[in-house]
This record gives sequence, C-alpha cells and structure tokens, in this order.
Amino acid sequence: MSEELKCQICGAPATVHLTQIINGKMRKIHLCEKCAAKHNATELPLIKFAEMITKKLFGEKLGKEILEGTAKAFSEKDLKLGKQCPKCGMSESELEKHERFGCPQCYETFAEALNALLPKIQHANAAPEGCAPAPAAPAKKHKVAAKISVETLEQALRDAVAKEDYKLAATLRDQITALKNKPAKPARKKAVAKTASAGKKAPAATSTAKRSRGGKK
Amino acid sequence: MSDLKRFLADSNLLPHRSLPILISSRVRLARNLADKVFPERLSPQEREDIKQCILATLKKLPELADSVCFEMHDLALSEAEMLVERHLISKELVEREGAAVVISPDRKLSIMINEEDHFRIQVMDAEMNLSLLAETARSLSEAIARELPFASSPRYGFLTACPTNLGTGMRVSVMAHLPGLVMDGQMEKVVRSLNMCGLTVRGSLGEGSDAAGSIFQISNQRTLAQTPQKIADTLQDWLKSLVEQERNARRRIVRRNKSIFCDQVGRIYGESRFGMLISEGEALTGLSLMRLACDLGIFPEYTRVRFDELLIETQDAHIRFRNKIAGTAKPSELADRCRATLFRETFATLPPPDFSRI
Repeated sequence: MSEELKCQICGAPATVHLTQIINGKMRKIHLCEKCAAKHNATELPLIKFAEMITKKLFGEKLGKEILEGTAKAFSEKDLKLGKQCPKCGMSESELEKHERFGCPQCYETFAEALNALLPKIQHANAAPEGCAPAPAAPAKKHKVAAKISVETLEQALRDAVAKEDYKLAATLRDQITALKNKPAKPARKKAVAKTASAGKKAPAATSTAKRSRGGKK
Repeated sequence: MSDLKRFLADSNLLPHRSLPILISSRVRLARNLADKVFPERLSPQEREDIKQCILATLKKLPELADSVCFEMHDLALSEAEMLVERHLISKELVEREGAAVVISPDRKLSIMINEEDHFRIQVMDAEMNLSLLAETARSLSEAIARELPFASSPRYGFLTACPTNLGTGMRVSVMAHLPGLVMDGQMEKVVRSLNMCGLTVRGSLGEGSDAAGSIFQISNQRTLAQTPQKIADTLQDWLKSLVEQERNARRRIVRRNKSIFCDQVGRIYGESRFGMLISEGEALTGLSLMRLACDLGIFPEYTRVRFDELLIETQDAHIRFRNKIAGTAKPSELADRCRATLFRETFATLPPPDFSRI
C-alpha cells in the first residue's frame, strides 16, 4: 500500500489532492476534507476554469448569465446534499459515492434517496409474478431471445448513459446495431473450438449481467 | 499443527455426491446487529469489540457445537485463500480488518463476521434442495437472533449495508457447469434471458470473477418484497429449464462435432495422465471437459466426485499449501509441476475414456 498523505494544514489524513500548474510550474497540494472545505479548495480552480471557458465560448455578457444560473443551481444542489446521519455521520454525498449505508438509522435519514434507488437496484423490471420458465421449443426460442435482447440491451444502454458509463454504452450501442441489422437470423452455432477452450467464455461478454450497485453472491 | 492446518488438510469431508451440470447450491443471509453501526463505518476497536461479542454468543449456540472459528488476522494469506477456494469465505473477507469466520465441522455452514455486514450466514450443499437450505439458514439466523437481535424495519425487513441485500438479505445461488451452452455459443442469450427473469449470472468466485471452466454462479437479484420461500422456488423452477437447455446443447455438440469432441477429451486425458506441467487455468478447463465427458458416459459415474475434488485441490492456494510452497499466488513452475503430479496420480487410478458410450 502506498504511504498515506497528510493534510498540509492540519496533518490529518489527506483526501483532497490538488495539482496546480502556475506559469508552467506544477504544484501539488494535499488537504483533508475539513481544510479543503474551509478554503474552498475543491471548487475554486474548477469554477475558475469553467468561468474562463464559458466566457470564451459565449462572450462576456451571455457567459456571465450562464455562470450565474449554474451557480444558483449548484447552491440548490448543495442544500439538498446537506443531510447527515445522526448515528454514524454518513453524509448524502458519501452515500452516493459508496452506495452503502452506514447504520440502520441511515435507512430513515436517507429514506428519500433510498426510495429513488430501490426500483433500480431491486429490479422492479424483473419478470412479473407467474412468469413461465424459458420456452423449450428451439424454433421459437431464437425469436424470443432476439427480441428480448434488443429490448434488454436498450434498457441497459439507457442505464449506462444515465450512469455516464460511456464505454459500456458504446459497446451496447454496437450490439444493438448488430442485432437490428440481422433480425430474424438465428446466431450460427460455433463448432467446438479446437483448442479445448471450454472455459474461455466469460459472462462479462454479456454486459447486462453486470449490475451497477454491486450486491454480493 | 494448528487447528486450521488440520482443518484444511482434512479432505475426508469433501462432498461424496456429485450431480451432472449442477455442482453445488448455497443460501446466504446478510444480517446486522440492531442499533449498531455497520462494519465499514466502525473504528477498528469497535469492530474488534463487536467481533468478540458475536463470537462469544455463537460459541454458546448448540446449533454450532464443534464448529471451528478463525479470526482473519491469525491466518496467513495462503490459508485464507484456501478458504476462499472452498467458498467458505468471500474474497472481501480476506482483506477486512476485524473479521472472523465460524465453520461447521461438515463444512456445509459458515458464518462470516464483519464482512460488509455484521453477519453473513451461508449454508452450502451438493444437493439441489434450495428450500431446505433456505430453511436451515433461516432457523440458524433465528437462533442467533434470540441472543443478538438483528437490525430490521417494518417497512423494509432486515437492514443491510448495501441496499441490494435489503429485505430478506437472502441470496440463493447455484453453481452450474454449462460447457454445452458455452461451446454452442448460446451462453450470452441464456445470461440475458436469466437476467430478464430476475437472476444474476456470475463467474464461479462470485462478483467480478470470470467464468473459467464454464462454471457459472446463478443467483437471485431481488431480495426485497419476496418471501425467502418464493426466492428459493423461483430459482429452483428456472434450474429445471436451464438443465434441459444445457442437455440439449450437449446433444447438439455430440451430434454435430462428435469426432472433434472425442479428440479433445482424449487429448486432455493424455495431458492429465502424462503431463509434467499443468497451470491452474489448464487444470480448470481440462477438468471442466472431463466432468462433461463423465456426464456423457465417457467416464464412469463415480469419477465425477474425483473431478470435483480435483477442481478444488488443483487451485493455486491448495497446491501451495499441500506442497509447502512459499510465496504468493504468482504462477510458478514448481506449483505447475506439483499440480501435474496430482493429476498423474489421480488419473492413473481412473479408467481411460470409453468413447463407445456416446
């Protein structure tokens, strides 16, 4: 494990690491969360950069209006994120990051966030009650499978975009295009691979199997 | 010899029964102590206190009489890895501070302490009676709850660190050997269909692992708003059709590519019988094919148990432990040589493949 960096102001473990380039010279700053918040260290450089780029893109006047609007939206978001669990000290932003609750009390503290989260992670879109097992007739099976896969893939694509996982999204998009291009053709069965690679196929090939909110086996 | 060494070296208690296609089944319950912060957010001292409190209580339970208990900081990395290879603990538990595990003498039951949740109760079997497993796990968790109340809420049920386990906290999973569907190129479709039905498909070591050897772990996605019985029954129902699909795929392969398939089995048998260096990956793919050949009648029925044993015994940590090879999980020629020796010795006692059966 790498050596833990200390906050340059108070000496607590540093969690905020800034790299500034001023006049071509690089400077690294390590801060703990408290000191960083005190000095607005996390926001300043980013906002400066955003200001610069917005003004360049939209001109002085329009740029200023956009920036004011953004600042307002951000402060509203900050107010919403301010919740903290009285028992374990978990904050809403930590919860968003780790996707784990800190204690039983968190379930009450963050009831709102949980309600938004539950339909996604507990798979409200799973098969409805009484859904019959997979069709056995092979001729039918291919059609059903193809239909299912485009829909599932499209759902997965939407999820991936929402989560900003663009790498996954691109793969899914290609899969959807490929499927749509040859709709009724059942996949050709591959001959047994000569190299005894019975086990080379990983389930990772099917991106839908990967869930975002990692549960345990 | 420490307790652990004796425990690990003793292979008499490995399953003596083995089914085609379905390797093993497991039910896992996630539970937390009422009014206590979940392990991840505890200080090391608090975690240690909770661990000791839980261990003291578990030792008193008649259900866990004669069980062995290991605190993770007492184990060498390779010893902990052996427990992972036997699915008695999770990979995560190895890295957790203040963690421990209690394992029943028949190794069908293990309780991980201070994993992601305070308790992870696991019941495993080579049989496929999922509702019986669920019942066993439930009665054990109730026995614990009589001593140490669990965190729960009327609205959600049992409260867990990760909301993916919320409610019943129950994950039912089955280890399935599906080389037919893999070779036939159907696995992707099957995974998608299973996903649609609320089941997750993973590699054999759970989350994030790959499906080497065509061994997959299939489990329920939802834990909330379903009774444990219903979760177990749903998976059990789907298994029937999955087994059917796998059998069909195997039939197709044998029908279309019989000579290529027989050639492969023969070659792998030759490597296993006479090879001098076998890597962990080769062992797994080879044994996967041997197990398939056994299911098809090329090897007699009793050999499947031997192949299952080898699947466990030829993994890296096991090989290093048995042959007292120092060092970490890096591939080494010495380990490969020891693995090949084990293969040669075992295969010398087995009959050669009989291709007239298919």
